[in-house]
Amino acid sequence: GMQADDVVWQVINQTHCSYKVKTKNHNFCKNEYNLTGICNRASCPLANSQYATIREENGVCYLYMKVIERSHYPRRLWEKVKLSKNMQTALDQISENLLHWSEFVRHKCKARLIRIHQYLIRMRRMKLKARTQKVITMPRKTERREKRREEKALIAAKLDTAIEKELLNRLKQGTYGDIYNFRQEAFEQLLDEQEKEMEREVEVEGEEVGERQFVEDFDESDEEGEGDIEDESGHWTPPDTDDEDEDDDDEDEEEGDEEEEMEVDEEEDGEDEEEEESDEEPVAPPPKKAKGGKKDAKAKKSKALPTPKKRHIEIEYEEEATPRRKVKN
Amino acid sequence: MFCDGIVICPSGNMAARPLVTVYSDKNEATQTQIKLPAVFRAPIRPDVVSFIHDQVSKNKRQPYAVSTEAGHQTSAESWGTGRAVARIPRVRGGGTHRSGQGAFGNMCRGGRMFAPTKTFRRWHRRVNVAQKRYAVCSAIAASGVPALVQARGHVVDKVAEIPFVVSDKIESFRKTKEAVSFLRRSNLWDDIEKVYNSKKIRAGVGKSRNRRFKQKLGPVIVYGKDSGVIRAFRNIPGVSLLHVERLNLLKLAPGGHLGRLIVWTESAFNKLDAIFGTYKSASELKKGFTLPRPKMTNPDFGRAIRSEEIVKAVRRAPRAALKTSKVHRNPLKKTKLMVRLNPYASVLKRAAILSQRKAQNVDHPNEKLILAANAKANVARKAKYAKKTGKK
Repeated sequence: GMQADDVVWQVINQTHCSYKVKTKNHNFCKNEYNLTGICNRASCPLANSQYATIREENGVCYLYMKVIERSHYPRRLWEKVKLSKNMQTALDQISENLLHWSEFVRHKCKARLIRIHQYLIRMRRMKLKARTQKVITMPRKTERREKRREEKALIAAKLDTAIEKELLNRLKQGTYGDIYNFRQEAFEQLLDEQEKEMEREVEVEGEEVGERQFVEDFDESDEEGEGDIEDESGHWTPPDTDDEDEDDDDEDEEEGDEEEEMEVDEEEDGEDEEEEESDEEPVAPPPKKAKGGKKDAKAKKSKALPTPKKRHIEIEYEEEATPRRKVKN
Repeated sequence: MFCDGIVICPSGNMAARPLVTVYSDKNEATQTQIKLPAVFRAPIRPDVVSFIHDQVSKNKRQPYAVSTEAGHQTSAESWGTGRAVARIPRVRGGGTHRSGQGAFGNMCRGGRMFAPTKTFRRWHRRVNVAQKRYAVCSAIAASGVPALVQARGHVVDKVAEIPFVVSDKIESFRKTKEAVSFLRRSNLWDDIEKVYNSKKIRAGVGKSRNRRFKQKLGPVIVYGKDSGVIRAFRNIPGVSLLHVERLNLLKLAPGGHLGRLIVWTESAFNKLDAIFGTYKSASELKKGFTLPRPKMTNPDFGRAIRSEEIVKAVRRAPRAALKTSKVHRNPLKKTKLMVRLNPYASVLKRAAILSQRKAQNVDHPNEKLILAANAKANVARKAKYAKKTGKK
């Protein structure tokens, strides 16, 4: 017959309705006029000729009503009534407008109004709190991509080497002053060589009889060097005298001692260095290292005078696996 | 503008035939009002429509088949047993890879497929004329129900009236521009926007078979006489065009789903009564055809059975028989019954309870009160007895 709601519901429910959304347990209705949001016989705005909803637009609640008389005129189907901002009066308005309507519609309209008011209050409260933290979503794809790129960038930055260089530069410039002096052995070598030159010069000058000259100490142990020994946490041991590879230079004796001290400094400061930076050199037997160190030192020494330019100083880090005493062969 | 002649009676909704306003091509209501054709009162039968649509849609198919000789263009023969090979026919001869390979079977490479498709498959379906007509009536009736049109997915929020009848001016449109402006003014353009937005590349092989794009359907324009309508409207995506006398179910209920949006021209609308007839007169154009009658004149079943007339005529629903309370008979389970048979049982039971409590060192919560009450009762009893004996 005429637009029989039952017929409409049968057709919609059993065949196809473009507003129906099926989930695992429930059926939902996407129709914007639906009172509950659920797809069922009583809530379907299409299958009920007499129906009402509450909708909120920009914080103002409206009551929408449709009646069977206007069912063929979609343009003016819904009658819109503005509801009072006061919830109580709004509820009364609903009761008044939906007088003699079905219990279901009336009740659901009121419930919906209350819910709307609740979320509006919440929205206002949230605005006042001025939440700085807003949830910003990022698609998983970009998130994964960026994460990987960060990792790669970290590797590419080579932070360790950069830090190393920076620290060395600072040392060379002398920003650390007297704090660290294990690097000074090169400087010391330089100084020594210069001293010797100076001595020769001085000797030439001092040929005059009776003139007093103030000469530097020939001993290798500098004040700084001695300071070194004390600075370390008392782990000083007599320097190694075991050097097979030592050359027969005159300087070598001094060098030898210096080297030993340097060794001490080097190795002990090497420990310090190790604590700062987590570099791990393979644990080579210490004597070898010592020799290596000496070799290097010699190499550096030979270089020291002629090339006062920057030179790459290698840092060797040792893992102090065994106590120092065992170092001696 | 308003429905005239509506009588909302609990029965006989069929009788109500409202007036439908005709709108101008600028979407202004004209003075003309046409009585709703009876087709719109035909029963809405999604099952019939679905079935008929299914059948009729098979009629436009083109046959496909594999070649008849496919897989058999060899003179292969089985080698038989005793050669340590499977018994499948093998290609004869030599000098080529092909020799000795299996042939003919559906499992063989280069063999004929299982059940090769034939052109003489039954592609078309014949459908009874009455059934086809029934389906078309149903589809038209459904198009007059705004709820169904909406449910199908058309955007009809702002359309003036459903069914939508327009003056015959439409039929003499020559330019698509005119057609578009008409659709815009009549608030039908939203539906066509929907079509534009729905254009997608088809999934599947049809892509490369000249069916690359898929899109939704918009409104159908049903006209009485083509003075240019077709050419004006045909290039607008989603729009279909039909002549009243040659209505096509495949266009009225695409996909077998009821409720396509139809725009009628005035002359087309007027012809409907003649084409399909009414419940009082048979169709003039379709020989021997009258409109299908619904099984229920008032399909609102719930309302019917609760109506006064029926409730009065029907006997009351039988009340369920009075529930008699259960009679307990097992003294082993009911102490009251036991005590009735053996009064000493209560004494035994009490003693058991007390001994259990003693063993577990648990007291009845009101033990003290009970004892006090008992003591009091004993005292009273003794006093009474004493009184009696004393008196005596």
